[in-house]
Amino acid sequence: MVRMGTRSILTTAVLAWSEDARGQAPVPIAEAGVSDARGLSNTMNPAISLVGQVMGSGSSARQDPEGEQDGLGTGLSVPEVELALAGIVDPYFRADVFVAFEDLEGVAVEEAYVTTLALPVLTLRAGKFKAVFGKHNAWHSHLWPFVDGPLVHAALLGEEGLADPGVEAAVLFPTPWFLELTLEALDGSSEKLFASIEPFDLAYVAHLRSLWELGAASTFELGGSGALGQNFRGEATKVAGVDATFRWRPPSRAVYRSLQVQGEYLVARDRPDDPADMGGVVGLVRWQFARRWWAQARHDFLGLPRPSGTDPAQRTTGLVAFVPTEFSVLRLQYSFVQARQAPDFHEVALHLGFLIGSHPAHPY
Amino acid sequence: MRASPILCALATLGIAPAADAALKVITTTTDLADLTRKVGGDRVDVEAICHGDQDPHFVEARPSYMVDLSRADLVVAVGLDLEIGWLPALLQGARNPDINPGRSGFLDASTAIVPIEVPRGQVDRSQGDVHPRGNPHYWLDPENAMRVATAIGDRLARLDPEGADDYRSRTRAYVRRLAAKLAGWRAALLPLAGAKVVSYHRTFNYFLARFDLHAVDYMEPRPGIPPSASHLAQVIGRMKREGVNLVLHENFYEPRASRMVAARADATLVILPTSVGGVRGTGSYIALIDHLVSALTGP
Repeated sequence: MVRMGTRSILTTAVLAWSEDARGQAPVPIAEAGVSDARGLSNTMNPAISLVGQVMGSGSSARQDPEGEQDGLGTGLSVPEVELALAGIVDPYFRADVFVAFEDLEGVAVEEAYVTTLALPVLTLRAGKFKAVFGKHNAWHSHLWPFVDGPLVHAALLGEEGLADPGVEAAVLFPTPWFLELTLEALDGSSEKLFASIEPFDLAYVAHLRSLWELGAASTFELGGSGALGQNFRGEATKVAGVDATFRWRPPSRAVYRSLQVQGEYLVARDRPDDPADMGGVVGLVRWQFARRWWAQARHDFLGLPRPSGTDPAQRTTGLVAFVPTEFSVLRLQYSFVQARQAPDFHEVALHLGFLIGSHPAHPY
Repeated sequence: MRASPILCALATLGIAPAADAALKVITTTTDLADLTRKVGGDRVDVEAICHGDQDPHFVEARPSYMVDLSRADLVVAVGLDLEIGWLPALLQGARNPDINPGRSGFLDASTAIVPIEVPRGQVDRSQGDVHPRGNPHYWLDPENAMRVATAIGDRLARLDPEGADDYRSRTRAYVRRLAAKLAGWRAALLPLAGAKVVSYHRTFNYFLARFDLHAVDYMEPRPGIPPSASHLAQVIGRMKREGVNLVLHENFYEPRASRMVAARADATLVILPTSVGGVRGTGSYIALIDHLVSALTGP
């Protein structure tokens, strides 16, 4: 039995038509090649890329074989392999799908969405996507500046961040500087945040991003984010965030030097597991001191504010990265972690990231 | 974007310069911007994203560029994957359907020229950052500049039919001027015909081909890979064997490797701009080529 995909149905229909037109000029279908005549063509294939991560890590934290591990753990691992497919659907839409294989076990569709191509001023997206909340939440793990994500994001938004099926509209304002408003409505399903018991309750996210050029080499960016949704206890959880980023890269030495300083502050209220306000901040510096070398530092502080009677959590991280090309990166990271309900510990990781296939641009 | 603080302040106040231009054109490089200004005249308001002294492979896709692109009538790009790391993201963020690839508001200037160094056979990244469709640095050949100027003029005429006669006559005049200058440049570089050179990256190959010079090796062992000591030793050896006494160096790369090789191989090091505005005195395409020619024939 021949399985009929859409393309082969269309080709069969055209072939049938062409046979009806026997006696007229030969139809050029067969000239396109045997595979084309069988309805198999590579020409319109999506762009495919694959990003992989390999890590060796060591931690002085006590390893609990039953419970969740704190931090990166000890051992060799393949934290994630992510397959990205992107293609143009038609003159109106583009589609992007990201499938992640985490720790060689689970398969998760991280994102799967269509984006409009032909609207002025506005971009619409529909599907499952990582919410544009602050800076870190929307990044895929291979784009993270460090091997792991900030403490405050994991605590408030969950390990997977805020990512749900939904719709999004992003408007570029007609201002002389970059000002963009993103509004999203999501079908919340995260226990950490928005998992409503009512079927039609949606979660809403808004993000305003403003970026100014400070000259040929520098930019400064400020963002404000808000998220609101029903949680599984029937109350409204609210999260707010502020982010600021300064970037410097001299044009005539652009491949050799750059500096990035970034901070994000998140605070959540009426969370499902604790109604008390909880917030935290992450600040990081990335200094490129040679064509292929980066030195980075980060500090996380979770507990600003924090529920009474709980301790803050802090982490200080240093990292050195060797970037042979845009397609591979080797990072050595050290963190000193002062966890909330556990003794302090140190962790070290050597992490390799690599990319094959079509090369998507990094978000700025 | 060359962000002059005065222009930014004026823009913030809502005062736009060149408000009577019929078309707003954004080009990726300063070379394309100069060609567009020459054939467009007062009817176009042209700006370039990449600076003249910046490597056009590695421009960052700053959101601020999206703002200008959102208001553009025409985008002119070099193509051949030169801007592939940054332009697609900018075009998507600009939310301006007219300038999307395939529409008349997008011009890939490489469609006007015939690329050289198109790789044959299977290409992969073990060969470095290869451009699978050919060497993209084609604007440094004045004959390609003529072809690109003509293509830009045609596109301007299509987008702004009222100015079509103006664009056509300006294009004809500019091409004639370039042809006359080309004869002069050929004559000036005749003493160097047949000479072998080395350069840092493959940036000058179209220019060299036009004037019968030949790059026999590069400081980069492969495109996009920085020089290694062993590779540079090979380059020095080759220069001595083949009598290469000219080292060309693009001004946005660090010159240490080229300096060392020129010293060891007893050759002359010439640090060159690759685009309009790359150094002072190269404010136009013709000035840029004048500068390259005089730097090569100079003292």
